[in-house]
Amino acid sequence: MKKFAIFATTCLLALAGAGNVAAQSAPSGDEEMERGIQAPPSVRAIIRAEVDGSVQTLLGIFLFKVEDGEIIYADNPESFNAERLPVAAIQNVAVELPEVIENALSAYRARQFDDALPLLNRVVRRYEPLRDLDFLPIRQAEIYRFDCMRRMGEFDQLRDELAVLEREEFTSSEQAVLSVFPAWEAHAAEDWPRVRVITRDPDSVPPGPAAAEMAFLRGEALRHLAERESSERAEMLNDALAEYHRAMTMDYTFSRDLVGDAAIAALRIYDADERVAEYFRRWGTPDFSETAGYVIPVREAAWLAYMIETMDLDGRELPEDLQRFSGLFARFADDLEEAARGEQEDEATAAQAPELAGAEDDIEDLNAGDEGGGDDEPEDE
Amino acid sequence: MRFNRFFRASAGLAGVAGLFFLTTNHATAQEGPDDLFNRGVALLQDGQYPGAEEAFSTMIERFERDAERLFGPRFGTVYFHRGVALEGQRRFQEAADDFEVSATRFANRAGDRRINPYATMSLLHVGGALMRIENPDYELVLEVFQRFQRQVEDDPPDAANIAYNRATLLANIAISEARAQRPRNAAQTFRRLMSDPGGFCRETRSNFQKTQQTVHAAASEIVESFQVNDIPDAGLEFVDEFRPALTEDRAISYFYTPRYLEAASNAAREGYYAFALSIYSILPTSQQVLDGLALNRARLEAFPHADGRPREMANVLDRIEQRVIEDMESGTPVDAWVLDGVARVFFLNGNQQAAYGTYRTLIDMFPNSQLRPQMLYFAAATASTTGRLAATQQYGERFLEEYPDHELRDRVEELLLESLFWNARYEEALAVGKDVRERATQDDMFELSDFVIGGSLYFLGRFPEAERELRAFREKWPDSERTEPARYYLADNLARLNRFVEAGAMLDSFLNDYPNSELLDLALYSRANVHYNQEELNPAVTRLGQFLSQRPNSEIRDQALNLLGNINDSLGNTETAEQNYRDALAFARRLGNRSTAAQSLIFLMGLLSEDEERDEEVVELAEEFFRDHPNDLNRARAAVVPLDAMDRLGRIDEGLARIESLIPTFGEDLEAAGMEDLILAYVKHAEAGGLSMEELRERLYNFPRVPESAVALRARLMMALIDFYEQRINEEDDEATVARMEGEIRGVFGQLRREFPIESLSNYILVRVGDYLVRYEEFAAAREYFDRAIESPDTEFQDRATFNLGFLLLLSESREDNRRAFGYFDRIMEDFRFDRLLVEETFRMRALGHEMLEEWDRVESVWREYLRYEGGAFRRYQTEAFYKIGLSFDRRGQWEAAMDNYAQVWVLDPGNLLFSAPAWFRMAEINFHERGHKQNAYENLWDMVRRAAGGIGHLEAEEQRILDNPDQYADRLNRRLMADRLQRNYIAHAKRELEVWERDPGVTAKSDEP
Repeated sequence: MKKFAIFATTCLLALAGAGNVAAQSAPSGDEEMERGIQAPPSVRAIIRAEVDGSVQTLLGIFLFKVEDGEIIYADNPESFNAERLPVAAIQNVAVELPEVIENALSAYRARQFDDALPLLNRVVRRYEPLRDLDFLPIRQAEIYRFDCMRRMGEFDQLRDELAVLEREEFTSSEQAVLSVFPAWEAHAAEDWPRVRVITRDPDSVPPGPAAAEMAFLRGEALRHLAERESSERAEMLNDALAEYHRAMTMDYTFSRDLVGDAAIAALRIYDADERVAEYFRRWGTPDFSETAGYVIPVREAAWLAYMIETMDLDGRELPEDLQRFSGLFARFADDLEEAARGEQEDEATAAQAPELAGAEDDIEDLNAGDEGGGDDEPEDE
Repeated sequence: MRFNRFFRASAGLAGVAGLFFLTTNHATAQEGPDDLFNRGVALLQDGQYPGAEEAFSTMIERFERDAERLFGPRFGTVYFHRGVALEGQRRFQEAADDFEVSATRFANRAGDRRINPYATMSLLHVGGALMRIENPDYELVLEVFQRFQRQVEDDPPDAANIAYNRATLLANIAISEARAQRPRNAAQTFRRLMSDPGGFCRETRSNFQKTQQTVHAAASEIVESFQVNDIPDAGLEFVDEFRPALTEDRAISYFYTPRYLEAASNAAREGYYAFALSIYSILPTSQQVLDGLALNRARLEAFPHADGRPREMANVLDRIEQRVIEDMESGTPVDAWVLDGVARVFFLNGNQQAAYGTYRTLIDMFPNSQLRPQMLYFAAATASTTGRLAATQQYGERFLEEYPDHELRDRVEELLLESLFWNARYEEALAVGKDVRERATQDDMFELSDFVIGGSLYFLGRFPEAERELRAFREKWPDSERTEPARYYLADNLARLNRFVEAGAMLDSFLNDYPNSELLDLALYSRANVHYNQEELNPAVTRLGQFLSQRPNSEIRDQALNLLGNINDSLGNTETAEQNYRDALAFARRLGNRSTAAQSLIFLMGLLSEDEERDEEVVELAEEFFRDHPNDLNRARAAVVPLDAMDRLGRIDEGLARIESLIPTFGEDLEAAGMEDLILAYVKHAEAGGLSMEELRERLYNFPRVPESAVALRARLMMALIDFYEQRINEEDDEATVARMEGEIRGVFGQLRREFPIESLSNYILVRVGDYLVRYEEFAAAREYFDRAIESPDTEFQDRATFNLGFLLLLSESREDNRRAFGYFDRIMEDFRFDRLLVEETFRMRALGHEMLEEWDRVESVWREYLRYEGGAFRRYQTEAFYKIGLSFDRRGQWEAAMDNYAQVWVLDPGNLLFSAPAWFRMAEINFHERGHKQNAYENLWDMVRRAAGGIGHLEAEEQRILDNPDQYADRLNRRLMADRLQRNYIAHAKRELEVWERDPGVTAKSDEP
């Protein structure tokens, strides 16, 4: 094992200046490629690990791959020396993400899927040997890549790749996300029975975007299958409604496009509901009653339409054929005020103050820590 | 972190300051200013803030008086350092004061080279310290930061010492603006923070290092401020604008989750729903936080110092991890809070589906959450509203099981009860309702359970019990919100008990009080039905007209059309009736009301079977019925109605075969409509179908496919055998056969009493067995059967049972029982007023009752009412009426009035000697004893005896009728009352009287015998 002296202060400062983004002096993966360097792709890092019974800091090393539970690294990106370090020995690590990874992740987060996909392809391909490292977002990039394919409608490729994917290499939360893609593929093929089977256990996915997608897909399956199975139609549509609504809530409405799509799909169910028809038929006639059962689905639909019209749902708009729900929410305004008042007055069921451990004191400390002095730069070693 | 910052700042300062102080000539013998200063700095470096404070305070104390002269502006460094020491002790106001002194009193000035290197930086520290005092004045803070920025721009003498993080300053300004309730300014400052190109800025002498902490510390304050300042739209825009930045890192933001959550929760409470949702949407899930931590740990900022000491960033990440794990272990992680909040936003907007779906997930995923009771409650509530009955029960029951003493228990029970009731699960609603009522402590629970019990009994057809409950509900809860349905249930309940007068009045009043009721169609229909049953056909048509015009889309329109058909049929408008039934049929089929469609078919069959030419159509309709509705409740009637037509078409064997196959399908269903008719029709047509009497007897005893256990059905079949025998006895001349059949009847009755539990018998059988027992004077046993009949959900024969109970009470030796009898008669007079025959009998029974109690004025009034009855005077018992009115005057000593009425008896029906003879006799007696017309009296009595002896009139026949018809209860009672006036007693009595009178001096006796 090569012993590392603490010699690289300048290198550290260079890294520090750029935060966890590319350092001025460090060649990015892309640059390497552009320069035609044939060296294997690597990620620059500092590692603090227990080596031969003592803790050492490996500065400015380059990580190449993980093999049999060991990291293979070198102190030079172009000369591959087979230094090995058990992953388990690592105590701390700091990495300098290559620009290609940063760019790929940024493009994906900015929802520029067309741009993101080739970058993510490159990331996954180049850094595949390092995908087992939890502190690198390689597996995340791989998942984003599938998502780009799905959003761009490249389902054939998605299906082929998922077919050979080694899922056990992913963490359980990543697997939960992966489990949604086959359902998207079946959804694109309008193979509703398959969507229904894949999404049969929507509660197994913890809250988050995957849970929202799973719920949306199940809603889609149930809605379409309901048209075929008249005996259970009402029940299936009701369940589809619940799933669409779960899609709108399971990731706290983070996935705005999904919220919009689910809301519109749910509105279509309401639109075809005989009770809703009865509401519109009776509205304005002496026959109308504000407390009748047909008001319940209309209130639900009115809120969804309101949501679509007032929230930025990634460009989703209330479709032309659902315009009768537009502005309907205002009819229930008084009820809502009353409900809100009731909620406030009702101690038993009123929203409770959260009791999470994150406390004001900590926020203060963080503020205070930041405050004033411009002193967050790392010290000289 | 503050210590580190000071440490670095003061370490640099110490060299400068030490050098500065050493150059002065004012070092003291004890400890010079340099010593003191260096000691303070060293203590600060060690984090010994009180010691450092003491050193700097000593210095200030000793040198302040001459500080200006001796040290000039440079003395401000002492205040600056003491400020840092005070800050370290969280004494922010004092620290701010010291920083302020350093910045103002010891500000640098032109020409003075004794520079205070911290004069400008002190201002930044004033702002920082003022932000952390209790109840900060943020306007002041902002003013200080502005002074700082202006001073920096002025390129002050201490410019070389100005160094700060621009990102932090912008964040602190944004925070202060937010807290000063200027969220739009804060958002603008935040925008500058987010759009800053970064790097070192020469003009402001600042570097720029924006961290996730900086971003969220400011953003969370701004979001909260938008909410507090009631500008949710601007808040929504803010979140939408910065959503990518606010969701970029899912780990650090966890620290700020409580503040975001509170802002979202408050926004939802204020009705800013879209804003609330947008805040929720930027919060991380627990898993995202954990995933984000791994990536954050690989950032250089988190890498330990060279000596292995962890960096502050690593500490922060550790704390976040510790907290997220603690929160997860607590059972209520951020996911639960946020999902609960999101679900509540949907819920508050009337969107129950979302709330249901979300709470379902919450319950499964967070079984140990402190929110679990609320989760279960809301899941049950929203499941109920969205029509998921099984889920309502499941979550509700789970709540009750897990939280038996929770404050929401009543609500959950209420919910379960309401859900069961409104989803027509009446058996369960009844059971739960009774349970709740037993344990209820709150009025609203009592009220609800009372309502549900009454309503469920009504819907279950347990009308007598329902009546008691609903009446009690009305009395106990006159102001209940459930009064409207309760009033309707009670009124319709009475109609179903055939108490049409009271029901009609209640329905009229209901319709008057609730002209726009949800139940308007039902009430109008019920009212029309009551009119129809009272043979008030025109008012019934009027009500149905209102029904069809006011509730044209009612779900019971088909039933209303059927009723209209019945009315038109009664009015002889058969063509219209047929059209009504056909319309009803079409409408029922469209609505999927299968039972009403079946009923329309039966009505059509009934209508068409009156016309022999349409027999084929009738049979076709029957076939249609049994094809489409083989299991309909009214299938018995559908089998009976076409029998005559089938008989005429020579297809009676098909009809009988159908009945044979139908009878066993009823099993133990006591309420099966038309069951009696079915069996009677079977018996009636059996001979035409080729069955001998013996075969029929055998068939009824051992009906095909009717098991031994089907007691109710077997009882009905045995009763049919009795009916059959009784009918044959009337037709049979052979005494031996009659005797055998009578023996059979007695045997069957005995068997019915012995082998069949009373509750398994239909009202028809109950009344028949009761009558049988009365005949053999087993009155107490008979009462049991009649009592059971009037308590039974079966409404058939309740009139008869009621009448008979009244009669039995009159027979009782107890005066109290006798008086109770009138209650039953009153009920008949009210509820069965449309049945003139029964009412007429009841009048007579009432009068007899009063007679028995010797309430003579009542006897007179009842009979008078009988003779002048508003629905048309009765005639059948008018002879008796005049006699009894005469008798009532007679007993009260009003001889003239008595004579008048007795005379009427003679005028009306002198041949009805049961009454005319005693009237004649009493007239003679009154003439003789009271009026002194002795001769006249004697001759009249003599004449009467003569006539009676000569067989004039029908005294004997009348008497015989009474004796022969023990089932005619009024006669039976009359026999008891009239015992001394029956012929055989009476003639002897009159003869004895004549013999007495002949000896009276006022009488000239006749020579011959009468």
